Amino acid sequence: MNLLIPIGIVAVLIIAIIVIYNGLISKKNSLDSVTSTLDIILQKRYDLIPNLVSSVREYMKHEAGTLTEITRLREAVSDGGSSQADRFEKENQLSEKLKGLSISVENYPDLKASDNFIQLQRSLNEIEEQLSAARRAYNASALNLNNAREQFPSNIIAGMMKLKEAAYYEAPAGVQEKPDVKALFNS
Amino acid sequence: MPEQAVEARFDELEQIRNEANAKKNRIHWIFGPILFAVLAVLLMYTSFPFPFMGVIVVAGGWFYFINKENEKFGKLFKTKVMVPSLLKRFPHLTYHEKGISKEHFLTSELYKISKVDRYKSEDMFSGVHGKTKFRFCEAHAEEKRKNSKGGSSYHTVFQGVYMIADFNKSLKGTTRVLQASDNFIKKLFNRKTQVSLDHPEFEEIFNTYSDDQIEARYILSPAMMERIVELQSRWDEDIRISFIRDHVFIAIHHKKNLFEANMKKEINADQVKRIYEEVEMCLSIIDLLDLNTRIWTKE
Repeated sequence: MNLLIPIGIVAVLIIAIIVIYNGLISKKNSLDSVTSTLDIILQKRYDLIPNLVSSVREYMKHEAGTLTEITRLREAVSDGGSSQADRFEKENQLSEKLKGLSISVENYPDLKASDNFIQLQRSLNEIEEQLSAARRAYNASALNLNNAREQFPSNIIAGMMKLKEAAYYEAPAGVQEKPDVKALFNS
Repeated sequence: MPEQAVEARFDELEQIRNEANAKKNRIHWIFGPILFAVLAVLLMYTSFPFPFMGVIVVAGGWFYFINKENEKFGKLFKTKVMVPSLLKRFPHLTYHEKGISKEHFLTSELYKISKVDRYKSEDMFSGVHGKTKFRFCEAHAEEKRKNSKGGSSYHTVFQGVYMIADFNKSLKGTTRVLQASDNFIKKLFNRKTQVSLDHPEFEEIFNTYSDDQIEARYILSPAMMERIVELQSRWDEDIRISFIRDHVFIAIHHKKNLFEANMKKEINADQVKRIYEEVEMCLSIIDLLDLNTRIWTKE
C-alpha cells in the first residue's frame, strides 16, 4: 500500500516528461515545416529574379546600379554557409531592393505598360505576399518553440534535448516604417 | 432618388396598403374576441379536454391570416416598386426571389450540417461589383432541439445576411474566422488547427482555424485583419467569415428583415431609399474587404 504513492508519483512524472517531450518535438517539427515552406517561396523568388532583371534592364538604364545590387544579393542568399539570421537579413535586403524597383517603375511608362512586365510584377507581388505570410507563420512557430524552451518545466527537457533558440525573421525595414507622406508630396 | 415611373406606383401601392391594413384590422377584431372567449371558457370549465388546443388553433389561425396579408403586400411591393427601382439604381445587380441554397450555405463550413435542420433563404442579389463576382441574400438556419418533455422546437443558428464572393487570391485550403470563444473544450479540440495571429484587436474578437497555417496568414494579412475588425465594428453583430477554394463566405447575424416594405409606414421614396441603403451596406462589404484589388496572380 505504501508503495502505491511513490509509484503513482513516478508514473505522473514519466507521463509529464513524455507529454512535454512530445510537445517540444511537435513545436520543433512545426517550425521545420514552416521553414521548408519559407525556403520554397524564397526559391520561387530566386527563380523569378533573373527574368525580372532581364525584362526591365533595357527600359531602366538609369537603375543599372539597383539591378546589379539585386543580382548580387540573389547570389549572396544562395551562397549558403551563413547562419539563419544572416540569411534572413540578406533576404530582407533583397525584399527592400525589389520594393524600391517596383516604385522606380512608375518613372518608366513604357515598362509599366508592357504585358510581360505586368505579369512579372503580379508574380512578384504574389511571392512577396506569400513570403510575408510565411515569415509571420515562421515567427509564430519560432515564438512558440522559444517560449517552451525557456518556460518551466519544459526548459529542463529542452535543455536535455539541446534545443537551440530559433532566430526570428525580422520584417524588412521598409515594412516596419510608416511611409512619410509629407516627404512624398514635397519631393 | 427612385425613378419617376416607379414613383407613379406609390399611390397605387399606398391604396393597396391601406386596404390590406384595414383587412388586418378586421382580422384582429374577429380573432381577438374569439381568443378571449376561448380563454374564458377554459378558465370556467377547467375539465375541458385538451385545454390548450383551442388556444393554439385560434392563435395559429390569427397568425396565418395576418401573415398571409403581409406576404401578399410584401410580394406586390417587391415586384412593383422595389425590384424595378433597385435595378435602375444598381444596373449591375440581378434580383432573385429565392436565396442561396442550403447546400451552398453549408459549403461555407461556418455552420455544422448537423445544426441546420430547417433552412430558408430569400431576396438574393447577384452580379459583379468592380472585378468581384458576388451574391448575397437573407438566410435563416434553425436547429431542431428536443426538450425534456419529449417535444421539440426550432432554435435559430443563423439569421441575417449571407454573402458568397470571389476572393482576390488563389487558395487551396480552408480558413475560418469565427467569433472568439472561451469554451475550453472547444479550444482543446481545435488547438491543432487554430491560428494565432499578430493583431491583438483581431485576436480579441475572432478565433481563426485553418488547415494551412501559412495560407491563413496569406489571406489574413495585417491589412485584411484591420478591415475585418472594421467590418465587425460597422455591423456590430456576430460575423463569421470563411475562405475556401478562391471564395470568401461571409455570414452576418442580423435579426431585422432586410429588403422589405414597412407596412406600418406610408409607401413613398423613403421606403425605397431605406432599401437602397441596405443594398449599399451589403455591397460595401466587398469594398471594405478590398476584394477588387487584383495585384496578385489571380485576375
